[in-house]
Amino acid sequence: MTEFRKHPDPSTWEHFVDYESTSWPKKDRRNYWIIPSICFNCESACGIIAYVNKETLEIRKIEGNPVHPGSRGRTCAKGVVTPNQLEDPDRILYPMRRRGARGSGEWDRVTWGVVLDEIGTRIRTAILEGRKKEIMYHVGRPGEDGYVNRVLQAWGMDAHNSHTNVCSSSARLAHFLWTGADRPSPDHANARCILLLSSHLESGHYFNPHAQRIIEGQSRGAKLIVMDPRLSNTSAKADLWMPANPGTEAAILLAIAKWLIDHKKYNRAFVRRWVNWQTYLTECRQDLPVTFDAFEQAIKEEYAQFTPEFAEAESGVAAHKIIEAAEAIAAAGTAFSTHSWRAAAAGHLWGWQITRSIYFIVVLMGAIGEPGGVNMHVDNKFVPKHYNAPPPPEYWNELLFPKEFPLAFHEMSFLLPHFLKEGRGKLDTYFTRVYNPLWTNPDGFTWMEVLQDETKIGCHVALTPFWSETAWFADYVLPMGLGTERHDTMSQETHAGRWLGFRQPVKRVAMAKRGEKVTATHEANPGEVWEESEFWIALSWRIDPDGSLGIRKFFESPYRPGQMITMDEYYGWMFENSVPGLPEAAKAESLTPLEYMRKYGVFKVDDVSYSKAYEKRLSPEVFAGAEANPITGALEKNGAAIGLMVDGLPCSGFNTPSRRLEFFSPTLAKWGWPEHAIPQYAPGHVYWRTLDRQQNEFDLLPNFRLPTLIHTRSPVKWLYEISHSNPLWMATPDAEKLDIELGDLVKVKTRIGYFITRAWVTEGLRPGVVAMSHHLGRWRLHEDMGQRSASALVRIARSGDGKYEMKQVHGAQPFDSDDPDSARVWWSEVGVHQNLTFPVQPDPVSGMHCWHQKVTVEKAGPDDSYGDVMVDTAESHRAYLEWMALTRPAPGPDGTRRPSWFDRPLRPIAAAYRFSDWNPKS
Amino acid sequence: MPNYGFAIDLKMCIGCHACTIACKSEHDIPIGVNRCWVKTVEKGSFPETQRLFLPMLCNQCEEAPCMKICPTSALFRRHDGIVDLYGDSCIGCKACMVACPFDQIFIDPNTKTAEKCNFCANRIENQLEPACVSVCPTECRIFGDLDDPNSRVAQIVARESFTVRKPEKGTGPKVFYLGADNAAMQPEVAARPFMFREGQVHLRPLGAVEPDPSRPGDPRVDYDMPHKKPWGMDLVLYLLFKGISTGALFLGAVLWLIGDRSALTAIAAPLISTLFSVATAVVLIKDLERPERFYYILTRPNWTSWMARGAFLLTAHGALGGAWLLAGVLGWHGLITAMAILTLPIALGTTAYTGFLFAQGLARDLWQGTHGTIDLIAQSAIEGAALLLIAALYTSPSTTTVHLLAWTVCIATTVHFLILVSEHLFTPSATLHHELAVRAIVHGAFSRMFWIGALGLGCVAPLVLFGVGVAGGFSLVTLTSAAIVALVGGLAWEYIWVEAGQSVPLS
Repeated sequence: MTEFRKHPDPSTWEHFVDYESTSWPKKDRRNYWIIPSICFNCESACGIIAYVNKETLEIRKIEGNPVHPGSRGRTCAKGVVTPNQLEDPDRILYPMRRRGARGSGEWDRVTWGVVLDEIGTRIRTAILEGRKKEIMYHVGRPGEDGYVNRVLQAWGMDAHNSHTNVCSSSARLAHFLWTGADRPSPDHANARCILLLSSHLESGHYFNPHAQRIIEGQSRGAKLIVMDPRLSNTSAKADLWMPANPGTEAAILLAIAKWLIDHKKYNRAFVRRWVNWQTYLTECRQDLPVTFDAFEQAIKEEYAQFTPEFAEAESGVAAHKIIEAAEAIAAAGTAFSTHSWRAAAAGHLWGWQITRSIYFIVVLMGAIGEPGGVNMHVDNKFVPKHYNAPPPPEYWNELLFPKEFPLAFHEMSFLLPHFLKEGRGKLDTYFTRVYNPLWTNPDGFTWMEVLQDETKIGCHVALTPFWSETAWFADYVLPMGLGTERHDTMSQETHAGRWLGFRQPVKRVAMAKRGEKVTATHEANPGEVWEESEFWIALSWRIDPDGSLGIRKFFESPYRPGQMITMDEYYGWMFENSVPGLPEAAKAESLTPLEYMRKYGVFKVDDVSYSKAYEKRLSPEVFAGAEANPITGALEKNGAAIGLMVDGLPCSGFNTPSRRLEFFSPTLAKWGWPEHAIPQYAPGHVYWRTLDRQQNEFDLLPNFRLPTLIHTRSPVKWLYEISHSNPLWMATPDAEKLDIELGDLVKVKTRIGYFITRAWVTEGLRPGVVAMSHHLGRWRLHEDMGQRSASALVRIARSGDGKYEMKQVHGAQPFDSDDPDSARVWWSEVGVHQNLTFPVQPDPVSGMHCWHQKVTVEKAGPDDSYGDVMVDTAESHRAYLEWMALTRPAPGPDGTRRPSWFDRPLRPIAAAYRFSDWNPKS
Repeated sequence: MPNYGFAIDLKMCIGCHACTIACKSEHDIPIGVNRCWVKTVEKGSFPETQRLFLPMLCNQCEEAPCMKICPTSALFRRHDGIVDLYGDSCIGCKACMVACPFDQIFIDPNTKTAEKCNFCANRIENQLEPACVSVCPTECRIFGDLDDPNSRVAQIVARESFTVRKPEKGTGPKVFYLGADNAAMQPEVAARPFMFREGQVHLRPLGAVEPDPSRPGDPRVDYDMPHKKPWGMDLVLYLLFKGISTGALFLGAVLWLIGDRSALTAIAAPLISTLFSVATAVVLIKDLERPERFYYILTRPNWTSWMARGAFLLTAHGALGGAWLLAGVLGWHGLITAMAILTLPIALGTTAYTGFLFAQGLARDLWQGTHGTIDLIAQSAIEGAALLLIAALYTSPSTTTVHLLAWTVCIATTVHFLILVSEHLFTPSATLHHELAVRAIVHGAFSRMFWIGALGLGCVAPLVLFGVGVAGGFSLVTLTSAAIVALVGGLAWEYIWVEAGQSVPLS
């Protein structure tokens, strides 16, 4: 019997001989180095291995890295297409500088020396002139842990902007309010019941690692429950699909919670020990004694209305299904895992209350840190220290965290153009990286307007491997390496264990194996493609060439004083000094830690970690001198909570101020939102009961992904062949009423404009909802600059009053290139860019852009064509102002801009949290 | 020797397409074609809607119809049961594509040769699992030796209830599906819409079931990547040209043997036959994806293939026609008699083999059965007689000859008519595939051509004209026009037979 392996054993990676499949059955042997890296096509950081041809140094193919504990040798479709990206005929290979007006499409190829000099001088000047706050780095999915934050800290800048608020703010806030950690880490593989408010069998963080384990759990008998108005692939695999009316999910979740409490099927002991029920009683029920029995009574009263029948009336999901779900959860006990990240949480005003409600069930079941339960990400994600940590910035950047959003998770990224329009500040130099804000964010034409305005953004530097809608409006377009052309470290909470992944430029590694001396990654990359890590080092040296600004020292070698640090030194230091167990593991194989990581691409830090850190006993030294709060039991020392007395034992507790799971959030109560202090059902901004169905009003669900596409970046042929357009899902009865048939053009009107797309009529969607994937609808303004197989050529017309009109000239077309496949492109419609027609809708608490839109749908008229978009940016600014009016600005009760216990990706010094002019009496 | 197979647990398949792409990457497959892909079908009404995923790959059939039909043995079975393909022998005739009931074979646009899944034989020989197995996030694919009772795949197949695609074809597929739903497994069941949820439909077979808006809960395909139908106009012309060539020579031989020594039999019949033999060869070679390799069919023949057998028959037939023509020109009448005797079986075989060849196209139910062969003979008789009647206008043959040719047209047309009518209007279809093909002919995409072209022009009009011609004392002009109309109608039917035969989805 032949034993088959899924992948070549690592012992063979130095000399792997493969049969070339394209000339098979002739047995052409090819010699490869198999060099590991990690995928860059989503944030999961799955392990990949590259087959690097020893003669040509070309990458023949990409597979999963079998030693990676998160992805376990498997990848999704997106991982395997990395070679498509490397060989993409539309890749940018040389740095370019704008000529003519911004966005006019005229470019000069320039040298990296010029680029570094010019940008370095700008930043140096800004620093010298005290304009640090005019520098901003705006990143989408970073694909690395901590590297650029360290760079910005070294520059002394509160300059980190992210994409979080169009992605996961509400879910983060909700998790954080409960536990003090903003991400969950479900242990699906060992669960007995899995409740997903997400579509992790096809998308999301962390699709491939989680999908593996969800199906593993389901195969072992776990019941899979999925709540989604849409028959996602995940819904399709569910044992129980609950297509709730969008925004009513919390009604079901609270009904489940009530059922568990009423039937005494919840983990009473856990709740008594770890939940801040005392605070709830003292704040909300002063009529009751502070006992757990009283609390149990109080929450029964609190949630009395949430019967299954009430939930059915709100959500449209049959009461018996809700009870079936509750029973499955009860039967699972602590082996109950959930996930809520984007989906409903990102869709609605108060979406964070939906996530809070799902986590309420986790708390009720005591499923935190248990096998099959939900860990906190801090227990399953490992972030090593970078060498020579710079001090935190000393100021607060109000363009990132404006006072209106003291509780936002995190930077109010998608409001930036409105802030600039309002004159809240301006930018001298604006870096975009792995980020296409004009396309990804709502209200893209306002972005376009601001990106074109040199008085608002002095210089825009786009770091990108490919053209994008945003890069088109840059001053410098700087080509950066793809997943196998760069160094990064990443770790994610993929399961109950911890690992550190190492991304590396595999061709550079191969050249070194061949004995060639490579001093920088761009020597191995195609054209003049750099890797960002080296770019930031080089740029930092240009900003501070003589070290007088105190910046250069952070970019000097720890081993060769005064010399520029190399990648080997940077990561060598990290692996030697801040990854527990790695030096020993390397030594056992007679390797240095860096050599170990270059060989395996990953290091397993822990095998299984159900840390239950909250139960950890405080050491006598820590405990000494602490005082227990008489009501909550929180142990306080020097004004800070350090732990919790639980049944007479001093424990660590959770990372909240009370060290408990905060069912009642004193932070929300004190920072302006007392009515939201506990998990609640609060229908969102598009509530089905308020839609006028006679006027053909619908709830547009615009925020779902496809398993085959890589966000907005690098659309590639093999993936686009499968998924290339985003028709509007419509339920059969709705389509019938509007006389719309499959494939008909429809006009979808939002508050600020409309778009024209095709209808896809389906039984897989709740009536009253229309849905559209946000992946597609890429466009370009120049025939030859942009992804020709994946974008439409468009013309944009602007009228004086801020109205924009976009028309597609043509969709994808076959074209000639070095890749014969480009002449075989058979699809033409590449989707419609719906986000342009969405106003910004920031949740006043989490800062999340609330994606759902109230729209009207009608059959398209004779003058409408596929892909038409019309937007009124004046109206979008009015919408912005209305949403801003919902906010309840800082200062908080202590005169600060943000609760000090709230995370920030790049935290400034404590003093920066204070408003300088705050007067406690005013 | 191992005997490799797959078990695919559909309960675990999440439809993520990782397998599709891993396969593309492993084998560098161009866009537009696939060795492996995941079909998606939706069924049911909200909120009890289902989405079904069905990963497709080659079944490496026990009785592989592709191997049988391949004229050059480019397709071969490895010692481990895998059906592999030697691209250097492939002439690109696409016969394997009409044989495979699973739509698993295609022409690679880079190599212009057939391609198919071979369970990643290149990996297997390196002790590595196929790429689609290795990548699968949920490990829903289990690969191994079906003959080894200790292998996981053998144990699953022994223990669990499974289905294979199209068991009725009797090919012995070696990909076993657990938890399969008929709506996905049987390609004819689900309707095929004109667009998918995530994009355009690449190819939509003309005979596919159209979605019925009044029955939204019926199964409907939501993603599939069928391959281009292999045969087209070249094959239609081949049928016509060959029918003329063999029919003319056969009838010429009969006339010669009953004593017609006119220029019609001595020169015209072999001339027509030879010209159309050459034309047949030209369209056949032109239809090859690798025309420069056409002679492989004679130098590397696979004797189970009716295409290879047919090539030899065609060659012999062409040679006979040419020699007859030479003899006719040179006046070697004795030699013609010998050749005429030889012509009878060879022309008949050359006519008839195509019926067997099409029937070897196991994928296509319309082409199964003996009526196809009989009809080919009838059509060939009509076509041969038609050309000879036209030639008769210039060679003034005897009345007997004209009568004989006219009656040939009449009888053969009647036979052809009866076959068309009985097979497509009265005989119930044995399979859903056949039913869809017949529906496309009678009511669907080919109905106008069928009723007006094949039946009207091809059968009714010639018979009526024949009646008129006979009533008018065997008017040669009328009879000739009957023959010409029959030719046109015959061409229409040949088009329908080729196209409608391939109009039903296979995947």
